Amino acid sequence: MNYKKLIICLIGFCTIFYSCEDWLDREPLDVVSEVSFFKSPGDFTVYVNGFHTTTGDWTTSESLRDNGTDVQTSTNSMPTRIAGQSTINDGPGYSYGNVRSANYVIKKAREFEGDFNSIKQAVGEAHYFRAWYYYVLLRNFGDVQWIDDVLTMESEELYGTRDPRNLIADKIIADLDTAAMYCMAEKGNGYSRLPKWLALLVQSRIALYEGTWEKYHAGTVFGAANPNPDKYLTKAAAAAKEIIDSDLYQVWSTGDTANDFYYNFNWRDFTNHPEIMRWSKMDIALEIHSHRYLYIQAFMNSFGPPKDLVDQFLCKDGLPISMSPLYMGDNTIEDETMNRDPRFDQFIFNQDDIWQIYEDGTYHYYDWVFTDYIFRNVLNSNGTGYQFRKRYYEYYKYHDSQYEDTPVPHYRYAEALLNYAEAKAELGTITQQDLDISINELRDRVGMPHLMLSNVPDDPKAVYPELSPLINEVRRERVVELAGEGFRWDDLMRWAAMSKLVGKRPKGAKAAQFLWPHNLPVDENGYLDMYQNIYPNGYQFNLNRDYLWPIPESQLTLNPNLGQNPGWGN
Amino acid sequence: MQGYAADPLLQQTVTGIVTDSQTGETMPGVNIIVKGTTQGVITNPEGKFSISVSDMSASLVFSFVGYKTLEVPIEGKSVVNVKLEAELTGLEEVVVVGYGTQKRINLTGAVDVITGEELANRPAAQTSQLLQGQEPSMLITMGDRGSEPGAKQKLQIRGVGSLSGNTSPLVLVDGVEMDMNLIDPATIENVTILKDASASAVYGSRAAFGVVLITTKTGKKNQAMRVTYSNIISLKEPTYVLQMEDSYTYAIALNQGRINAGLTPIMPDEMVQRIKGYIDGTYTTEYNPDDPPYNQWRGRWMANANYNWSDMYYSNSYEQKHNLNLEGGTENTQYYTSVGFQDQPGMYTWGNDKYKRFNVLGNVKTKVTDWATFDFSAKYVKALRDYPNGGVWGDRSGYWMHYLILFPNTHRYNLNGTLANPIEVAMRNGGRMETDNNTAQFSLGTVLEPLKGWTTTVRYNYMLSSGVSTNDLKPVMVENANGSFTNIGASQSGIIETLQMGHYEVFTAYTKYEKTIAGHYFSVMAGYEQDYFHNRKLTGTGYGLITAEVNAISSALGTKEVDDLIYHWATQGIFGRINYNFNEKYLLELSARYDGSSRFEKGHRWGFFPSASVGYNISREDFWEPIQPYVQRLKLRVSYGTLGNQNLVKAAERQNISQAWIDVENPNAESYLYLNEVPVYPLLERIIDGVRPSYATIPGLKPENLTWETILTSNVGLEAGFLNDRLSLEFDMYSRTTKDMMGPSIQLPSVLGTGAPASNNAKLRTTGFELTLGWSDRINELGYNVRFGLGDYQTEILEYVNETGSLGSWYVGRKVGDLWGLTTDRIIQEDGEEMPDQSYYFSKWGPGDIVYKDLNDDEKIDPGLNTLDDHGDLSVIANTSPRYQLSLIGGVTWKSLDFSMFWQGIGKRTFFPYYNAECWWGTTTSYANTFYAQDSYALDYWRPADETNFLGPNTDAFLPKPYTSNERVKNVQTQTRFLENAAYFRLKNLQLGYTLPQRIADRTPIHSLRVFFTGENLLTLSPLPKAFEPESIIASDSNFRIYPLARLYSLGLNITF
Repeated sequence: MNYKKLIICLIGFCTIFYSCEDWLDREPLDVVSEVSFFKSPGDFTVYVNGFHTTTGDWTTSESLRDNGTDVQTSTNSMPTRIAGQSTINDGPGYSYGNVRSANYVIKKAREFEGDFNSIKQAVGEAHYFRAWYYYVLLRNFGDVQWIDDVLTMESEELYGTRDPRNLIADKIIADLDTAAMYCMAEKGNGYSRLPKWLALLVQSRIALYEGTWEKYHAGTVFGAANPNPDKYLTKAAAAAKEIIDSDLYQVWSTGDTANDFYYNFNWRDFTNHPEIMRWSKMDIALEIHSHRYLYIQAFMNSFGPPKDLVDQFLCKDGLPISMSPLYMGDNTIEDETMNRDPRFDQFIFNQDDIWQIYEDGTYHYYDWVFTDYIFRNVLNSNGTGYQFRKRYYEYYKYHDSQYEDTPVPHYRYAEALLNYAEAKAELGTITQQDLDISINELRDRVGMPHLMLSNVPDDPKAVYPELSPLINEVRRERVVELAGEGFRWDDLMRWAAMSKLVGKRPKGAKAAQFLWPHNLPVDENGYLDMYQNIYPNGYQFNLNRDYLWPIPESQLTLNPNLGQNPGWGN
Repeated sequence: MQGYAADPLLQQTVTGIVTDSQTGETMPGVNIIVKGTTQGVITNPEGKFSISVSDMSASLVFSFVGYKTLEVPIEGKSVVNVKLEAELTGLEEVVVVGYGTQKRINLTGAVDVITGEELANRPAAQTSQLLQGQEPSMLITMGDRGSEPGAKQKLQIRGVGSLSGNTSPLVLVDGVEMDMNLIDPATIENVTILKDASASAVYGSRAAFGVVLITTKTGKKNQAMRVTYSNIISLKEPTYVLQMEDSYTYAIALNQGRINAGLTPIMPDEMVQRIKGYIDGTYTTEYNPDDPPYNQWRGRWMANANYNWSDMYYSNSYEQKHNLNLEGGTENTQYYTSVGFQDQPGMYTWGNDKYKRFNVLGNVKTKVTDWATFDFSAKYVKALRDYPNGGVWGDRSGYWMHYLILFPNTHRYNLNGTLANPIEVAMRNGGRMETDNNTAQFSLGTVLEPLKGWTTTVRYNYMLSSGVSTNDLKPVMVENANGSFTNIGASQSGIIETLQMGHYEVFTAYTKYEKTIAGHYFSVMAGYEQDYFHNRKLTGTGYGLITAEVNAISSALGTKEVDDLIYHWATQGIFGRINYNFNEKYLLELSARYDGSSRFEKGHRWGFFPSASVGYNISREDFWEPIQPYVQRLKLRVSYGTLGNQNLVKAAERQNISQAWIDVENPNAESYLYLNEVPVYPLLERIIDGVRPSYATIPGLKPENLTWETILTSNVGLEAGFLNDRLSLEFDMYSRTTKDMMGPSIQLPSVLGTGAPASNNAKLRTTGFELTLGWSDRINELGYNVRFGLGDYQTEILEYVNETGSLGSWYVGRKVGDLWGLTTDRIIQEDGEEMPDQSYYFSKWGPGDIVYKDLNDDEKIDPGLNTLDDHGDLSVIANTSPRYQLSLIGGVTWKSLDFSMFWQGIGKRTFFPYYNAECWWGTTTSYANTFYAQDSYALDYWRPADETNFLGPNTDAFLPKPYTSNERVKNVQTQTRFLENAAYFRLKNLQLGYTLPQRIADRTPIHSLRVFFTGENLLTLSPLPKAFEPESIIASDSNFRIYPLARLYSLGLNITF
């Protein structure tokens, strides 16, 4: 055997392998590096698509946000915050992750070399979402740090102090101005790219939030330094007015005052709905389905509107129940709904409301279940006896508890009207014409008499006796129209109105009308009193502390310059 | 081979039989030569030989590997029967080490060997299960799938090596990285475990945390063909399945938790009465027909049956394994082939989960010239898995969760006779997850020895792994008692198909020269190796199948989706080793590897990892002679070396090359830590303009200058044999420091908006020891042996960036496993007892609640700032690392009978149950997650002295007063009272065998025959309450949800022709 041959073979063999000098250069095969992304306008759209799932208005949050307030109670427990049982570690996430994500694309947009018009919509949406993320921080923590860059580990901001809340509010409003400028001026189909009008609606909401917060918390530990409520209220009114003036949206009505309010929420497709400004489309074929709990009676049952809310509905003559001769008393739910604002009847179930329509066309009325359904099991009873009907959908075939494909409305024009009326009323510049283009539009849908500036009822049982009858009526209109849509917490917080609740227990309907034997406690006047045993002292919201959540302790340890919120130590 | 004869006329024939002096078995393949000539023969398969001899006064030399060479004078006899004596000591034993073999006596590193016999004849499917407990340094623990068919174990040698990276050892099968569980245990010749840096240094960056070398069997020289068939048939029974208390007990305890929380009882009186009636036989239906449960989970609150659900889900099954092999060889060519089959059904009562594996192995080696040998090896494995996967809860572990939340009072059947239990329906009728993995590996090598002592090995390995998985999505309709139906399966019918194809190639070439000159032995080895891995995965989904019978995307009418995943990496290294010894007395070894990895940025790719070790066989010194009768051998070893770790993040694909398609979370992020990528995902969870568009997210912060973790290991070892080497001892002490360790990300203020990237900023050290003591002896026909192993280690953080000293993170001085918690004082018995201010945890405290100890005497209980400087009343209350790995192996042979047993355990292991683990606490914060298990603590909760329910008062309770609300969190803070010891000692295997005596076998065509009985997991000793299995509660999720441990009773047969 010839060694040489063999050795040559061997060397040759080795060389084949070793000749790949760059054996270790193994670039990624299926991912996009930062360097090559954001080169085409489509990349920006792809990036901001991710924001569309981050705002939490998707499934339960809207329906449940009202929980534990005076408009929606849960039989099982109240949120720890309103029960006064929050501890320092209970707060929501003190997270800037979404803010960073928005700042990143805003920065990339500044560096973009192509035609700005091609990425305008995406940039507008980025600003919209950043505003929203900051609104969440503002609501939870008040003062937070304003960051508009993509921070690095070396950034000084990591150890900076918190910026005052009004600076944050200004920045949010500016972001929404930018969003309104860049986003499309058409309505769109309501579930896709964001229109300018949504930015304006959210702007009116947030400006109203900050304006009323600064007004009603003024002089307290929660107040803003150098408050200027009017600035924000003016902005809130202007933004809402711009939507109204656009003439793109209307309060939906067919003239059927007894049903329109209920059916307003029950479309299978809101694309051409004149009032719904934003909604989520579902499609089981695309694996997008909601667990839209409010449509599922088993779940819905554990929440009930309490008596406090029910009593807010005016009588048909436009007068509160304390004043109106039409009021029939509250021995039964039928009595209570009689002669009242038709929104009441459409908001809760009456025995003659349709409960379930089956595939074969047969149906049941609510009386089928009324006597026992809501009390058949303690877990299942709503505790107040009033059964939510608003946003419910009676077509049983759509109610698969796992795969509900009923679309979810999120934002509607009615809010713009109510924001407008409230901002103007708070500014003190409201006119009859302002009321006519806002609140009275909503009243027309249900056939209620107009609210007349010249004749505002002075309710002896007003919730806010220290405020003007007009403000009381504007606030009443807001809760009557929007209850169950997730606004109540924010409203109570910005109005500094928690003092109205502390020490009170939410009550239900007259217990005697329910035949089914139930375990729920009843108070001395015969009303259901669900919290009698669990929370004998009622709401215990800590007025000196709970309007803001604490900064998590771990964050204070990492950056002591943050400082803690009032009432939480330090 | 007939010898050469000068003059046939003078030839005489000598015949005889060679037998083993101990067993009396005949020995085939024994070499016999006439002393002083080249004339020789070997014994035939019956151990007989016949040799022509010209000089009847010459001697015959008998030699056989592993036996003492024997020289017998012929002395004119024509029949020479001899008995060969086995080498008593393992000193001449040759051990497989990195890129070569070494005599055991000359080893200077910490190396251990497990022979194939110790693994054979056990029913367990996975090699890793068989290795558990065999070596005190190696911790093999149950994986998070428990004992599900085909589930994997977790492997660790000498404890935690890195906090973030993969610290599993490198597993090489015949020199190639491979999943050890793809090997049929019956084909394993031996397993070598390289524990310290010096032993594994030639593997460099791949071997940071030890190496497991598995060598498969090869044919023996000069052996006639043999066929061996073996099988094991097992009865498998689930153990430690949680048993539920009856439904009446449930109702009372559930209601009590609610009442304590100030809530209305969950089960109304009316229902409790029905439950009682049902148990007494006075109420006959499983629910009230006038008020039927109206959705699929509703039975929990409305029905009144009494089932022990958790027990019903599991039942016995049978498994089997078979192996057939064929081996043999001539002087120049040897072969070994094997075919194996394993059928391992699971224990689900409904749903038929199963695992099947087919193995084929062929090893052929041939010497083509006297200086060149070629070998070829092929392995093929097919593994099939099939699991029910049918519920809305996602993957099949959802079943384990749902087992627990269906209360015993839930009805099984509707009154019309249809099945109502949603889990049962989903298991029976739901979709399934099926996988079919195929791995083929080919290895072609040559060993050249052109000069005596100079060998060069060149080897190329190619492994192809492919996998197919199908996950059929099926809507599963459950009929509710009120006649309505609910879908608890997929929203629509569909199929997800995944194809994966990976290939892995390794090229290795090394050359070695050795020479002995006057007692000085030298050897030098140098080599080169490179490997490359490439993986591609393709996933397609189709919704809306035309018919559930045809599971194919092409028969889908609805949306179709497709996605892929491609990644690759490569390494390259040169290595070398120098060995020197003088008379096998003074030993020295130096080795090093220079390694590069594609996972690092250019400029940070290469690392150099040297090591050195020395050994001293003191018993070979002349002065040892007087001690020799008592201590036959004594060796001291010391080693020190460095290794690198490139597997910085959970690089699971390194361990699972052949199953890489089992999702690595984000292989690109792991392979390209140094790159900033914009992650782009295909389907937004939202519809925009009628479609689900793709979306992207922000890249994480990029780590700077990422490079190897470096592992420094020092090891001191001692080996000794006493009393005629009947008593053997091996002891190793080590310290392993990981520096430039990828620390878990440091904490930075939230305002950064993202987590800090990892960097090479931390350091930790593991110190520990291993001890093996063995005794082996024979008294006449009774042979017995016992081996005891003990290993322990602890890991401490030496460097870590944690400026605030936060207890939520690592800090210098923290031992891995340190648990901070409160110290429990007592349970309050009376209202108004004196106690510290505990309002930090909750506003209200009363009888039945816990009082904590005020360690810092500030009269209030709190965790301070949760930092090292201010930790309030917290202290380190325990360390949860497993301590003291124990094993005990014993065997007895007597005549044809053999008996062995194998115990394995953990000496100490503290754990604190997750605060909401329903199996442990019974009542949790949510009524829906409540589980009252028999033989657990669940009902031993505090009840006042005047308790009226049937559970009665229990003021001396172990658990505090239960609250079915967040209030209970105050009582279940991490604290001393509820620390548990999950130590165990388990009879892993017991075996009783009978071997057909040789004299009977000789009269049949059978060469040997053994039948045996074996039992696995027969007995477990543990301080835990009887409901809990110590291994699986650690391996399970925090709620103890896991597939239960199986006990096996097996019969087996080994027969060779």
